[in-house]
Amino acid sequence: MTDQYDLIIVGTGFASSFFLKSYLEKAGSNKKILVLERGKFHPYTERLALKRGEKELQIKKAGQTYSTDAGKIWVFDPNFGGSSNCWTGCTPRFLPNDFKLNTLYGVGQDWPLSYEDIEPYYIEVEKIMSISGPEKTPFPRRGPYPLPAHQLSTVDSLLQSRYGDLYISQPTARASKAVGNRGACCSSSVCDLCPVNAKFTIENGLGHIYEDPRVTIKYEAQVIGLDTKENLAKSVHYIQDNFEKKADGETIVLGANAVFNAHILLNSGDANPNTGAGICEQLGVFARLYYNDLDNVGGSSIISANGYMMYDGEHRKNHAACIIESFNTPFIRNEAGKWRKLSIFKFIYEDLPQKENKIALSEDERKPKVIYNSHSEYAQRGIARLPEDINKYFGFLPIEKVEIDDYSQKTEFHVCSTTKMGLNSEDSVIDKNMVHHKYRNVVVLGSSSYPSITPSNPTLTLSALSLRAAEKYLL
Amino acid sequence: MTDKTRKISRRRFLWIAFLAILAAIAGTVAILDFNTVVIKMLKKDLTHLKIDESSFETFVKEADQKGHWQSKFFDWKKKQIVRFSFMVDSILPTFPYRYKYVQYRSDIVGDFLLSTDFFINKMDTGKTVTYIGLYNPYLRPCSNPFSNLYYPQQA
Repeated sequence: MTDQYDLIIVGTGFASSFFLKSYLEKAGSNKKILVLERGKFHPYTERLALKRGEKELQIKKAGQTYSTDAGKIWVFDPNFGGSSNCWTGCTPRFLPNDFKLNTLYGVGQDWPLSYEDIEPYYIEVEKIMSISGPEKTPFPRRGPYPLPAHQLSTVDSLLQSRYGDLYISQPTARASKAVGNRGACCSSSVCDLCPVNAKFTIENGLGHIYEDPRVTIKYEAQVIGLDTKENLAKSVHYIQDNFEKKADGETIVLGANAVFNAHILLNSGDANPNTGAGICEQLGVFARLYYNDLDNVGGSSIISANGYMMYDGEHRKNHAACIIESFNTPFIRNEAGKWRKLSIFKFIYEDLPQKENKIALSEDERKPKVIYNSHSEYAQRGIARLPEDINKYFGFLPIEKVEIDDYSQKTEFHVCSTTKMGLNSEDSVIDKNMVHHKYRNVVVLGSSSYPSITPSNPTLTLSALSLRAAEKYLL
Repeated sequence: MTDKTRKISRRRFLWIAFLAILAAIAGTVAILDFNTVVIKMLKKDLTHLKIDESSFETFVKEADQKGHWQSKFFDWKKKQIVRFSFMVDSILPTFPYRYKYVQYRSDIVGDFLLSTDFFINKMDTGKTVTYIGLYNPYLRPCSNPFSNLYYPQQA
């Protein structure tokens, strides 16, 4: 006999966990919830022991889960807690204009909801994650961040003096003060696994929801597809211990990631041409600024600041928005007496989803194929302007020399836009409440829903969308 | 001797010279493995500091044993760039992607210095630099010597 559940959730990363948290708060005590996690649970203590060389541990990597012919890589953690195990903890909000890219600038696709629609959920997520952030930001917000901002470096302070609210201490889930079971960030600069557990993770922040008696969690259970009938999904097929299993659910929530949400839908026979199309992420380019007589010291946390000077404005009609990250890792300049007369900035550009970049089925039903040609010309035009922009925005500093990488990083660790949200199935896969246009009991979460990706880190926004989706679905 | 034969001789000479340089570089690269190059680099770049030279050997050995370079995405390709460029750098004033080589070299020297008390002593060149163990933030968290913990904000 097939197991019956009120809710089946796929995945245990940010998207799934924030949805589940909200659901558990609002749903009745008699609800039965199944969580299917494809990976294992590797506790923080074990991961730390591995990093210290005290323990052997085989942790499954993203590259083992999909196939591709392209040189581009996509990085995530396919285990309990998802990419909270490897994220850096950068949590800027999107800007209000990010949601109306097409209306304002004639490029890309608008979101079917606005900044104001998400704002209350931003506040809630920032509280749950205990975000550290500054008093003034380029995006509107009501009230202060839960924790004080991290310190700016000497160079950051000069940039903030010049650009005001367009150059701020980075809002982050790397706690500036000890909070709950998390320590205070002390700039160790290895944030994939924080040595002092300062960074918010699903394990240290929301692990308790998986201990709720209504929740059954199954590990190493990879969801393959859904059984659908007319406009509803009836059950979930998954493989565990090499056996195919099935569970029936009233509501099915896909919170895997942008590779696997699309893959599960494609495996389920979803014929919407938008499903799987548009996989993309931001493009990051590093630049080193060498100074004549300016030491870059005193910043806190791995990334001390975000610059918004190249982010929003009329230029987005022509080329991509860019957010700047000021790095505070213990890098040096190999010249006696000039050890730290150097800054490393990363310039991160938004991309526009391209239809030809997509998730496709492969011969192996467990392994999606990622087809990727290249990023957009829109993003490339932004990158091409970087020398000019550095001169424009950083030229007032005592710069001796600038070195700009002539390539972008292999990945920005974000996967987006394969099940976009929009007004109807002509332009998207899900609606503004994240419900599939066709299968009305299937909720699709995460950054796969993004119609446009912005240059900002996606995690805060996708977590806020999950809280919103749970609330809207249960109304 | 005709003009023609003189031209051929010059061309031959240039070819032989080119091949000899190439062979010398290839030979040297073959002899100098990555660790040897790192030690030579450290000796050369840190000559102005008071360091016990055995520290360089200890650093390289420890980095190898603990998979330090792999964990820093310092893969085979990067190592070969460093080895090859180290040789070429002493012959040519510049070459393609020299700036990348200089960055990698800074990373290597930086990792060594982070494994000593040099930055903890605020870069005091008068003090003897002591090797304290391979820099690993998991064994020595909060030790980023350029952070606010070491350069607190003025009140």
